[in-house]
Amino acid sequence: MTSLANFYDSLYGDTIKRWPHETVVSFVERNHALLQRGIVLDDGCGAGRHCMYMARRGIRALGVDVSQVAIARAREWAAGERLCARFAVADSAALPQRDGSLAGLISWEAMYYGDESHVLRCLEEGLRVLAIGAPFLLLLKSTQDFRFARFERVSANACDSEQGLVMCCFERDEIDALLRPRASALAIESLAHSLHDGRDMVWNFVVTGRKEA
Amino acid sequence: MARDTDSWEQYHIDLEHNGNALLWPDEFVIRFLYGLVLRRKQRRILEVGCGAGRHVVLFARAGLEVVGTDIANSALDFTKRRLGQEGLSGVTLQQASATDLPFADASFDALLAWRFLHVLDREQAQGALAEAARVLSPGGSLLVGTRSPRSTNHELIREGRGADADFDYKSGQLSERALREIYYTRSELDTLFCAFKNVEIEHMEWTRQNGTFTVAYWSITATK
Repeated sequence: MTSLANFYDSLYGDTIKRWPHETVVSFVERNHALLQRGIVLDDGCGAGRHCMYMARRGIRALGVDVSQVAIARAREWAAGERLCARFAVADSAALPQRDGSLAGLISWEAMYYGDESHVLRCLEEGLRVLAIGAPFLLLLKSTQDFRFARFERVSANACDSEQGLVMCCFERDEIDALLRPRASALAIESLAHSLHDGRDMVWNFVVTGRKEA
Repeated sequence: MARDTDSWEQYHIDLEHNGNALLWPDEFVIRFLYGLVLRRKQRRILEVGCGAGRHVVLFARAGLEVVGTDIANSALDFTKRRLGQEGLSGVTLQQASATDLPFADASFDALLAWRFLHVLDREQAQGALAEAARVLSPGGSLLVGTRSPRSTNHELIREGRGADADFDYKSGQLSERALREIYYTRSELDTLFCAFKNVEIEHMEWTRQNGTFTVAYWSITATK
């Protein structure tokens, strides 16, 4: 976990992402009434761009991140704009929230660093803290991502990456098997873009649903 | 045939009325701004086809001298209201066709034409790129987005079901409108952008309806 925290600390040292991703905006708008029922967790919130968006839309957002630098940036930003979003340093694999206590979960660009057991533990924790019927949005890494073929495989689902961090990748069917018994309205979408003049494809899955079990 | 000005006016009125206008900048455009335009210290930027103004707002917040054009006055009205709400000033908005820009040669350091080239016919697209080259200064940065043949729309059109599929932001439902669009291949883009230097072509795609419907675009960066 230390190397992951250091990696994220370095990411948020100089520049931060300020604009919410279109996919997250769409999820928040489509589930707005449900998300307003309680606290929504942004797990791996970084500098807080999606918490800030939710706060502007009247949703009680709680952002957690393993990076102290990211959380400090997020708190400064929220205070500067007088927006009511809370932030805390926390480990996604051991969240401090009670079972079934949250109205929604977003994990964007966070739940893929680590080996398979770590990512599955994070996923399990996310589901644990969600209330029954609460919507979730997860960005998971696909085995179609160029890194999965290019870098050394460390287990069936995990490979090294250019950051020196292990990255966990899934097949679409694997995600379906993991979440279909636990969720309603499950949708698994692709989200991909190329790099380096089309030579490499960054490939993710956007997974949405509502916790049922 | 390409849509006429009146239908674009109504398109933007409907988007605003239904709350479906895109308000947040695309990540490719953010990368263009921070990775190229600001790094090259380029100050004057034109967005052709600015629609509801999500990128005009991004550029204005970054402190650039911004001009936005659109064929539809309804889109410019929307953008004007949004700039006012956000307290942003110093942005020039002007109704204009992409193929006949009312600006002098070399007026801009950077130009964005995001996701509308596919609704022009081939001759208009060539004209729009010639205009982009004309109004850019030497060394100016260009970013263009246009639909790719990997789009499910492309298959629908080939099946004779002309479609411009848009997704309602709030319901996630698909609506189709009859429209002809042009889905350039990568080699066609190489030809279309041959007057520019440093052309880099990236592809992006995402699915809807549980992986059954693909939306796909090219993103082309280039230098005059």
